[in-house]
This record gives sequence, structure tokens and C-alpha cells, in this order.
Amino acid sequence: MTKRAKAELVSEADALRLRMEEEEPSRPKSLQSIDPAQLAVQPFLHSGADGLLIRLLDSLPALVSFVTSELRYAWINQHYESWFGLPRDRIIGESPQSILPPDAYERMLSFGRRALDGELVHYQNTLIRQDGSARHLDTTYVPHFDHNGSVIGFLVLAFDTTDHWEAQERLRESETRFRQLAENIGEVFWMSTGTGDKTLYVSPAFEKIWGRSAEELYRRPFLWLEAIIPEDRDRVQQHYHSKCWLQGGFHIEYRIARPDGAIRWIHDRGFPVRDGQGKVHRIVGFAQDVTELKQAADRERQLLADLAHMARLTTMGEMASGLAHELNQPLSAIMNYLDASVRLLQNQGKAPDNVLSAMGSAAAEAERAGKIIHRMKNFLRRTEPRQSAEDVNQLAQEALDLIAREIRLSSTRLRMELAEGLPRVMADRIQIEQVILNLARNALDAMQQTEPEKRILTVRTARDAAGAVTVSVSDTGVGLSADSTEQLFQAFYTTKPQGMGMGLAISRTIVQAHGGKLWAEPGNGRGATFTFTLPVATEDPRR
Amino acid sequence: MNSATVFVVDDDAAVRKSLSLLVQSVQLPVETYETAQAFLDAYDPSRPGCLVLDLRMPGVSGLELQQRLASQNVHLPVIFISAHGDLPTAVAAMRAGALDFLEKPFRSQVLLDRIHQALERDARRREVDQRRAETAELLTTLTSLERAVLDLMAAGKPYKTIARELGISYKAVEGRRARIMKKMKVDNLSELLQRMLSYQLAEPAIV
Repeated sequence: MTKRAKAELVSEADALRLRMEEEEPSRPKSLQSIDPAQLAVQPFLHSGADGLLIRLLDSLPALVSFVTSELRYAWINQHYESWFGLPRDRIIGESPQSILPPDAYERMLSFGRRALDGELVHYQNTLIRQDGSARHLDTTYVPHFDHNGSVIGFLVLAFDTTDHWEAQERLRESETRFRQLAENIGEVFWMSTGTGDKTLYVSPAFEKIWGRSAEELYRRPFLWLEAIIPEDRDRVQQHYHSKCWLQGGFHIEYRIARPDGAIRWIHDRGFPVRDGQGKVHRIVGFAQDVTELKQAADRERQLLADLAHMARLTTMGEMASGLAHELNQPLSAIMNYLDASVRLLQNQGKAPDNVLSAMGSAAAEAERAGKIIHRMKNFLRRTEPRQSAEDVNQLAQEALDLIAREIRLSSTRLRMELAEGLPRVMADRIQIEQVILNLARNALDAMQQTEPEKRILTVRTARDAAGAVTVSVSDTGVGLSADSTEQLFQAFYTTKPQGMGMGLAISRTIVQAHGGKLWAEPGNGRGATFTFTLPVATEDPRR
Repeated sequence: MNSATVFVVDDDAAVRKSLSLLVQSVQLPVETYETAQAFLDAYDPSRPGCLVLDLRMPGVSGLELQQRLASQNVHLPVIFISAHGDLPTAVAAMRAGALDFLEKPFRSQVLLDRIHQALERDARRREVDQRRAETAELLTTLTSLERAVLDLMAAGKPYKTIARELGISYKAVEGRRARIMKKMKVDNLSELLQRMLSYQLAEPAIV
């Protein structure tokens, strides 16, 4: 800077100070002591309304400074001051070299040179502050020209973008994590517009389950509806269009037909995402292939239905048998009485023939009634058990699986003491599972009055001295009174208010039909143990 | 001597009473019992007759009663009657020597026929028993030589062989034979051999 130029600056600065003292009682402190180096910036700063620009720049949450062509700070704003944690007079008139870390200074030199050559420079910069924190700066150098068109310095405008940058980084990470999750889970994650007319995202599992490409779904947003088999489509469509799910979201199950013809069960859950105004602008959801679950549930349902059917048949058979017995006794007596009467009259030799024949007819009718009962009993008699060689441990396991829920709900502990290496038994699977189920249910009922922590259901399998396989079900319930042990097995005997008293009678009938025995014993200390035996399956005759 | 009695054991009172009347209508003595135990307590095995037995009864069942009688060497013929008619039990009863198994309600005539058969069988068996007891009694009156001669005669040996085997004369054999016949209260040889045959058939073979 020439001597003359400096003198000019000083005189200008003096003039400025005078003006501000006159017109601006609350002028910024920063201008009170003015360095000659600052003067270069004054024409620029004061090119607008007096003082306003300075106030504006001071209030900007950005780093603003003016650097002279001699690379000296001529002016900095308040943010600059606080950002570097240095008072203004420690900066103004100094070279950036004494303020900036060496590497940042190097960058400033190279970009600053371009600015001094008259170029508008923009660059991104990472700066390590004195406290060790790294900050990202978006920096712009604006060259400043004098009346002659030569550059007298440049304006530095730097925005600290660290927070923004970090937020972006976090967002990127979160999106990556989300994608990794969405693309690796077996469920299909999907997102559509609020009106559902456009699929915005669907995770790759879609292609595996639906057997169609995601591209196709993006192209035809209602493909998901078209893929549903006709039997289920209307129901789903109605539910979807009813909009009643807009409150709590929807849960719906339907079957889809894949292009390869396979049918899959889908469990689809979706919920609306609202914008600030409460308008639904996205629908997001998860769809899951529940075919296997459904099949397992179906198998269980079928097994339960089989058991129930068998129980009904057995119950009817048992009732018919009991009823037959009850009716046959009086019928038998009627026939005896009639025949005896006929004989007694004949013996006395004075019976009128028509009376004798009427009594004979009565006896014949009683006999006919007996035959009807006999036929009914035979009709309802249980069919021969369909026996095959079964693993008794497996039967026990399957039966208990069926009441796992009841066991859990009654806070009962289940102990399975299954002997290993048991031979297979000849059994009708369904019937024997029914017996185990009956015994386990009785055990649970017997423990209703037991303190929950003492409720233990023990199922044990073993081999007895005679070589037969035994299954016992023990409880820690009310136990048995000695004289009622045999009564327990009679039809219509029950201690339960809701019971019919058929369970144990049926169980015993089933076990006996298998060539085994079923009996009850008082438990060890408390409760009761019901044990039944099953004969071991003989060697395969084909071998 | 007792006349043959029909013993009825059934827990159903109507069945019991009607059976009693039916049996009486054919002029047979009848006694009824409500339980197997009551019958066991009252029955004297020397009394002839037959048993009409209900299969399923509380306490001792019909099948158990049959087994207990057999184990006490009581051979009263048994006719089972049952309102249940389950096949496996019927088979077990027949195997254990029951005369028949009738499903209630049955034609009275069928039961009466079976009762007559059973009484006949019991009478025949008792007669055989009686004769055997008599024979055993008479045999005790023989001397050991007479008994030896009789055994060889029953084995079908000619007198000459008997004489040689026992080391006595032919005449001595003939003399013993006459005394044996008198002691055994038979009139001729064939009667003697018959009596010995039925006795030996019932007895375990003499080694």
C-alpha cells in the first residue's frame, strides 16, 4: 500500500468515525479503534446504508471477514470472533497465518491467491479448532475491487456446515441400516403413497415370496391386489377400500397365486403415516409368508377335530353300551316273568289259550326290544382301533403340545420324564393321544385348588417288569380317596360340575381295546398318578 | 341226599326274582344270591346243582367267582348270563370251562335247556366221583397180594403170567380172584374190570 493510499484511508477512517459519533450513538464497538489495515474494507462496508451492513454482518451466523491483498484481516464479524474464541483486536491487522492451523492456512493461500486474481472462489474445508473438534466449512472468497478495477482484498464468507453434514451422515447411516434390515428380513417391507396408487418401496423378499419382480410392482401398483386369488380378492379389496383401517392400521390374511401356480398364505399388516396436517401421505406395512404356519395350524386343527370326532364316537359307544346294560336287565326280567307265568299257568292246566298266547306275544316283543338295543350297540360300537407301531414318547409329546396353552395358562410346570430306547407299541395314535390328553386335562383340573407354585404335571414313560410300555400322568392335586379309585372308571362318574364322567371310562375302554390296563394310584405325598400299559409291537412279520 | 339246586347269582333284583320264578316253574329248587361273596359264604360243595352267574357284578365278578371255585376244586357247572355281552370276557369264561354264555335278554327256554344240561352234567360227574370214592374204599380192604393180582388182571395179563410174575400157583391166582370179586362187590369179571378202568382213568397213572 502506498503512503498516499494509507493517508487517504486514515483520513477516510477519521471522517467515518466523526460521522458515526455524530449520527450513531450506539455504533458498534468494533469500529472504535480502527487499524489502518481495516480501512481497505471501509468503502465496501459503507457502500450501503450507513452502519446497517455492519450490523447485518455482525448478526449473521456465518464467518465473515475481509482480508486485504497483503493478507491481513481488515475486518471480522462477531461470529468470527466467537467461533475462533479470540477477541477482535487479536485478529484484526494480523495475518491469517497466526490464526489458522497450518494446513488451513495453506488452503487459504492457494484459494486466496485466486481470489486476489479476481476469481470468485468456493471450496469446502475441514478445520481443526483449538479444542480439537473438526468443523466443516463451506467457504466463499469474494474479490473486492477498487475504483481502478484492481483487487484490494477479498471478502471471506464461511458457513459452518458441521451439524448439517453430520445430520446428513447420520441419515445416510440410518438409511443404510434400514435397507440392510429391509433387504435381509424374510418379511416384505413396503411403502406406498397415501392413496396407494404408487409403490414407493418394496424390499427384495417380495420377489422371493410373490415370484414377481419388484420392477413389475413399481410399474403396476395394484399388482399386489391382482396376485390375490379370486376367492380372497373381494374381501381384501372391500376391506382396503372401506378405509376403516385408517385409524389403527390393517391386519389381513389372503392367499396369492404365484406365476408358477403355487399358492401362498400372506399375512399383511399396514398402517397410515400422516403428515403435519394429519393427512395420510404414506402407507407402510409388512407382509409375511405364513403358509407354513397356516399348514401347521391346519394340521393341529385337523388332529383336534379327529380327536373330538373320536371322543364323540367313543362317548356314544360307551353311552350305548351303558344304556344297553341298563335296559337289558329289566327286559331280561320281563321275559323271565312272562315265561315263568306261562309255565305256572300251564302247570295248573287251566289257562285260557288266548291269555297264554298274549303272554307269549309279550315275551316276543320284549325279545324284539332286546334285539333293537343289540343292533344299536353294535352300530355305535367303536371301530377296531387302527393300530400301527408307534413311538410312545412321540405320542405323549404330541398330546401335550395340544394342551401346552392350557398348561401355561394354569401356571403349571410340566415335567416330561421320557425313557429312552423304548420299544414301539401297537397303538391307534389318535386314541392313545386322546387318553393322554384326558389324563393330562384331569390332572390340570385336579390342581385347581393347589397353590400355583406347587402345580406340577409329570408325564413319565417307562417299561414295566412284564416288558410292557407304561405311560403315567401324575399331578399334585386333590388326590384320590381309596374307596373311589375303581368308581372313577365307571361311566357317568364325575367329581367335576361340568364333567360328564365319560373321560376315564372311555380312556379305560380304549386302553383295554389295545390290550393294556389303566389304573389310578395315590400320588407320592399328594395328588394322583394314572398309569396305563401298552403291549410292545411285535417284530415286523415280513422280516 | 340233597336234590339238585339251581344257584342264581345276579346283582339285579328283578333278574334274580324272575329267574327264581322261572326255575320254580319247571319244578326245580332254586336259591338266589345278590353277590358272589354271599354265594361263596353259603355254598357247601357237596350240594349238587348248577350256577347261573351274572358276569359283571360289583365286588367279586362272575369270572372271578368261577376262578375261585375252580381253585377250590369245586366243579359246579356254570352258565354265564350278561347284559353286556362283551366278546373277550365271554371267550375267557368259556375257556375256563363255562357251559354257556347267554346274552341278556335271552329266551327262557334256552336258559332252561342249559340248566337241565348242567344239572345232568353235575349229576354224572358226581356219580363218577361217588363210584371212584367207593372203589377206593373197597380197594383198601384188599391184601397187598390181592391188590397185586387185581392190578395185573386190570392190565389184561393172563392168569398164567400173573402166577409166574407173582411166584404163586395158578390155583392161588384163581382163589384170589374169587375173593377180590367178593371184596369189590362185583358179580362178574367184566364188572370188575369196568370199575377198575373208570377208577384208573380218573386217578393219575400208577408208576
